[in-house]
Amino acid sequence: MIFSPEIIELIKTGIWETLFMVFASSAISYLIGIPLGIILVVTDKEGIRPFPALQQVLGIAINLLRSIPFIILLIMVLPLTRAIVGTALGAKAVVPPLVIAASPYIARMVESSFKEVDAGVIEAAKSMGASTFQIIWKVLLPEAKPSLLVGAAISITTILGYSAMAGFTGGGGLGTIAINYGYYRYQTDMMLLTVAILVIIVQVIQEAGMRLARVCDKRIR
Amino acid sequence: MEETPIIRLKGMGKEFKTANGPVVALDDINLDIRKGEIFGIIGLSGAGKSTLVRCINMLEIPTSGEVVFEGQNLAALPEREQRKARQSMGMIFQQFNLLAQRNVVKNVCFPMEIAGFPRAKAQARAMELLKLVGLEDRAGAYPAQLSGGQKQRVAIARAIATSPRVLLCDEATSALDPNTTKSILQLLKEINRDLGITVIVITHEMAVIEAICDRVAIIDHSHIAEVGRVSDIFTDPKSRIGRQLILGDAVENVRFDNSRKIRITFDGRESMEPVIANMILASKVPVNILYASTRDIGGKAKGQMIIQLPEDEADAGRALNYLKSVKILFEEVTGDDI
Repeated sequence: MIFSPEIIELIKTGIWETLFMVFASSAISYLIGIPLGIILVVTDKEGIRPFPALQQVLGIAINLLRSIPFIILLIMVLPLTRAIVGTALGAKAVVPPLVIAASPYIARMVESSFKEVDAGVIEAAKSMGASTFQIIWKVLLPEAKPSLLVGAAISITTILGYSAMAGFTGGGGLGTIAINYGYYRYQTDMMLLTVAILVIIVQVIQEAGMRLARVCDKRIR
Repeated sequence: MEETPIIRLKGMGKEFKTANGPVVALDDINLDIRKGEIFGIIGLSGAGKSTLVRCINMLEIPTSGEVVFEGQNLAALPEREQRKARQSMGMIFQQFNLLAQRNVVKNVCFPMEIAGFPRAKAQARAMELLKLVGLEDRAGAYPAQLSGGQKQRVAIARAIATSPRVLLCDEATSALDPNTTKSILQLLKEINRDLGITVIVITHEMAVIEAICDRVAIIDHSHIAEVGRVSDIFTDPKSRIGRQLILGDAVENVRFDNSRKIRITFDGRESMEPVIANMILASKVPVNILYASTRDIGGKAKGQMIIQLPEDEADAGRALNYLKSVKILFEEVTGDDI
């Protein structure tokens, strides 16, 4: 009964919606998170363009956003979601809260990746007369690439975890199926099935990210 | 024929602000570095030599005084102009500081990308430079696949890619084994001789100074203790720190008790004659050799010896008189010197 055509169709839509939510919001979050991460590192008092006041304000803002539990954030930003997407229901409506939750998280991941870049290499670039922009573009980003990819695998799987919570507000995706069928209707088999699919997706994303990072890391002989 | 120096430091000072108040790293540094020479800056760790070299290319901005490079006070220039000036000064480091995610040829291209060279021209020049440092066959390798000496060769090729007039070497051989050190120093010497690049060498090892430098500044506790030709300082160090550095491992090997000791220096010419044997025969005084070593200074063999004098004043006087009569340079050393 669990593998009836309707259920299979439902699960397929769920997978598609989940992947859409996760990758759309990851992409937008990275567009916001990378610049924020760069600003955090560059304006640090030990950074290449120290601006401690800006760095601290940004740091506090990021911590503030990160301390709000996602399930609360999801409800808090409903009016904003409606304004942007036009509806508070379905997979699309989960993207704005996911972006708001993930961007500060990604900013911190990116910051920590950049901090791993050898200070000596940055000094060498400075000694060649490199500008701040050239140091960011030609040193920080390429040298941090493997670490950024590992960070991306962790960030995307975290966003996947967040997206599953969206089921409580009618968000769509596998999380919604697990909650609607497994939690509200006590269909344990449906719940287990969706959870199993989520496990597989996490495994694939994590493994792909790690592999990509390993392949492009030239520090390994 | 007093030429204007390529780099002149005038009353330069650097102060760091720390949580425990200001710390003076350099104070009233006055130095002239002549075009085309290999100039050494030596000091113990913490003496301020790394800060000094970073003030020359404005990686650290001096808090007082001037850094005059080719007639221009760098400290007074706007930042954009300072960056431009840096392209005329290459720098190599103790830890090589190569870009780990770029292969060898791309590393050498890096400063040329920054300076805005066309890609093809940069690539061609990078290959030329790799040939110069003997690594053209490793052009496609990544830094992780190279030995320390090879990495430093790539770093040298990279540092001279934009045809700088000055090459700054910050402890460039301190992470290398003795043989590799020798070959890297040889390469620096060739670059100085063949390309006419002025080389400034920062080190804590006297052997490095002795091997390649024409002149040396000894820096101690944020000040310059003495400056001069390496061979002059070797035979007649004026400062206490100078003596310490010259004595080198003798400091650890000789017990400085109350007995009188002298340090004799001699060059290749004198080492042909049995100086000590003659002294003993002439003055009829037995002496004790505590330490002896020879150094290669600018290609010439130089030796030094520490001799314990007899306790009897008259005997010691006779031995010293003999040395004076044959014009052997000597100076008395005591435990206070080290």
